[in-house]
Amino acid sequence: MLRTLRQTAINLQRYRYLSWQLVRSNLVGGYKKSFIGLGWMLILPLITVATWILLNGAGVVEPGETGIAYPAYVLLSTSIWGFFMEMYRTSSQVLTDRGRVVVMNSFPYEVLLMEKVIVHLINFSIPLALNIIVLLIFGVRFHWWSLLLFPVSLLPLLLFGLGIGMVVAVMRVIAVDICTLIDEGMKVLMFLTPVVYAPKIDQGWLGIFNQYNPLAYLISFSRELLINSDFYKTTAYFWCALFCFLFFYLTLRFYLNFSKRVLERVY
Amino acid sequence: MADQANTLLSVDRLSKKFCKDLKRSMLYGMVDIGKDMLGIKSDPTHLRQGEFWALDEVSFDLYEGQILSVIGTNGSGKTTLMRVISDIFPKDKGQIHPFNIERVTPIFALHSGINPMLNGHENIQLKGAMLGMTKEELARKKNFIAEFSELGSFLNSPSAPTPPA
Repeated sequence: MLRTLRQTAINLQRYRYLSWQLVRSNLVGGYKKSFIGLGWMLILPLITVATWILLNGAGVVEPGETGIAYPAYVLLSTSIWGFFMEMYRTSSQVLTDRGRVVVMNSFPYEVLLMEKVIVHLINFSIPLALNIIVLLIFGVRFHWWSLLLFPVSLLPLLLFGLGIGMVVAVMRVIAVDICTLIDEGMKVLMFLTPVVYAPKIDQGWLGIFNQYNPLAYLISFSRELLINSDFYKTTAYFWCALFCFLFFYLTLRFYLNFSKRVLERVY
Repeated sequence: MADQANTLLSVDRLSKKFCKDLKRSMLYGMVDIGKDMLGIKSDPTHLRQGEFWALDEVSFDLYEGQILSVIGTNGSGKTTLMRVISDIFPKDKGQIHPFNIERVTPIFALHSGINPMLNGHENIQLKGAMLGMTKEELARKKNFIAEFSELGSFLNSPSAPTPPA
């Protein structure tokens, strides 16, 4: 187990300059034609926040006891969900996006993932900071330690999204149909997981589903930690976190073992 | 296999197969992954329906200070040979023995990886890093690369006018 992780660490260390260059190329290159440039990184989340404030003004349905104003609750929840989903989305496209480059330039496949993770963290941190300001406006108060622990609590979610993404990235090269289904399934998953409603529905099939859905615990834990400074179902969260680490390790091996084998079939 | 002291690379009966039919190739890809995950050994040395040898028992030795040209028609496997040697593609049969080589750097498809929105200097950093160069190595060589490119002040402009790979 340690061999794969150590080799990955060595490759990332050796190619750290390439990771940085790819991140720069991704962020700067993407906005270079635009007059507003990197300003979009701030404007886009502002638009999302404005939409939620407007929705709040229009009045929304109260979905049950959420502890705080519903728009604030949804804003934070969708932001945490977005953290997971966006990690899945970008990593699941890594070989179809960058496959041609990697078969022409011989560098380790881990570097491509590193680029995606760093860009994702940068893209997430700006809206998160804005969301926290909005939550303060909505009257939510945070403990300093829950603000500090919150990013750490997201790590299993990041590894889980990355793990699923790595498997789908490999499959996307050779099994397009299966991946289209998985992509659609991930969208449905958001409505099944307690993202836009409180995790208190414990009856019926949805309750049973969420009992075994690690995302339900991972998302609720981070959300409750931030808004109530509370540890939601800590034991379940730690089991899920352990599962995510193991899942990440296995999927990393899958990705490293099979990426070459699938890319040679298309390039 | 060569045993001369100044041998850099020895390639021995190297073979690589591909599949002509795209859908069948995708199917073989799924089957191979499935078998591998179940621990079932698949035999890469025989051809399945639709497959052909892109490289068929290629052998050569490359010595220090030697320039070896591989000449062939389009589709004869020159790029595939380079990709297998530099471990971009896994081999199906044969052996590759590198001697005292730190890394094999394949230089083909020069535009690959270049971001047309970045300027020449930025792309030198990007492409250099892709070829395995470190920040320090690039800092040492950047003036030489800029001079070698003969692009002068155009290096400050986006690389977009050059055709993408």
